[in-house]
Amino acid sequence: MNTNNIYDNVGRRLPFSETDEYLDNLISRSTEAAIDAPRKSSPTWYTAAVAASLALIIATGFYFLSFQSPDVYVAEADSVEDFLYSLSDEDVSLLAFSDYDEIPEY
Amino acid sequence: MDNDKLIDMLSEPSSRDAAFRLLMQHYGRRLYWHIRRIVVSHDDAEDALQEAFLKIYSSISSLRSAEKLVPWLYRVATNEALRCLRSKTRFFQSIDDLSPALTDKLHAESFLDSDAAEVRFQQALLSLPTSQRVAFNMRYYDDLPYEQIAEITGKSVASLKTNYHYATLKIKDYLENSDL
Repeated sequence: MNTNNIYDNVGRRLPFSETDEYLDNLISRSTEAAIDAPRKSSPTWYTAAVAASLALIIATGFYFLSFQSPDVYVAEADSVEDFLYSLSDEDVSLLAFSDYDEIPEY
Repeated sequence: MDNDKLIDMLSEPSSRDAAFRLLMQHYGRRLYWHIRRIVVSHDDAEDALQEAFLKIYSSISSLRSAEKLVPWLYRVATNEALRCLRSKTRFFQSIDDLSPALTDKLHAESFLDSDAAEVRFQQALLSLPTSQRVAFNMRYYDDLPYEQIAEITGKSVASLKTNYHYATLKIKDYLENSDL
């Protein structure tokens, strides 16, 4: 098939029907959306920054707490009985009674 | 439009929005059609255009050279169009494998009065590998110099010229050998 005659006339036309007016409207909407986007997204950044700060504070708190209770390591390393046996009478009484007042009433 | 003046305006926060509006009024349609020729579907082109505008607006204040403006706009638009295509691929599928799906979209979105030759020509373009098609489009439709296309695609001018030559041969071959 000789295609020369047919396709010489195609030029740079495209088989789509969007009009210039329609495209101008689309471009205008997209332009305004791009300009407004940073303003709308700022609360998201603010929320993310607050969440990240809280996570950092909590993580730091856990990190320091992990160094303050050697008894916990004993409890993890040995059986519960060994752990209880290693406690003094005073520690045991604290374990047994100290939390009762703190149980919330429903 | 004076791109040097526009770049100055874009770097100033007080005039950035007005300059961005001017920029998009001038280049918006070109970017839309560039994206549309890659993704074919109007809806996909609209999404990719919107993303491209967002990226352009958020980064354009750092652009200092007026000469780089057009290649940069095209690069952002090309990346968004290719990202849109990639989002439609499955695992291990190349965007080149989307050619049949894009051809279907071409038929679905071609308007009723469109010339059969126009549709056939687009079909021939869709038979090219995507990178070759993108470079061909920028040369054929947008008249961009090879040096700018090289800047946009990161390929050498020599390889782009060779690619363009092979693309025209493939298109001709497609038009001659496939059924109407």
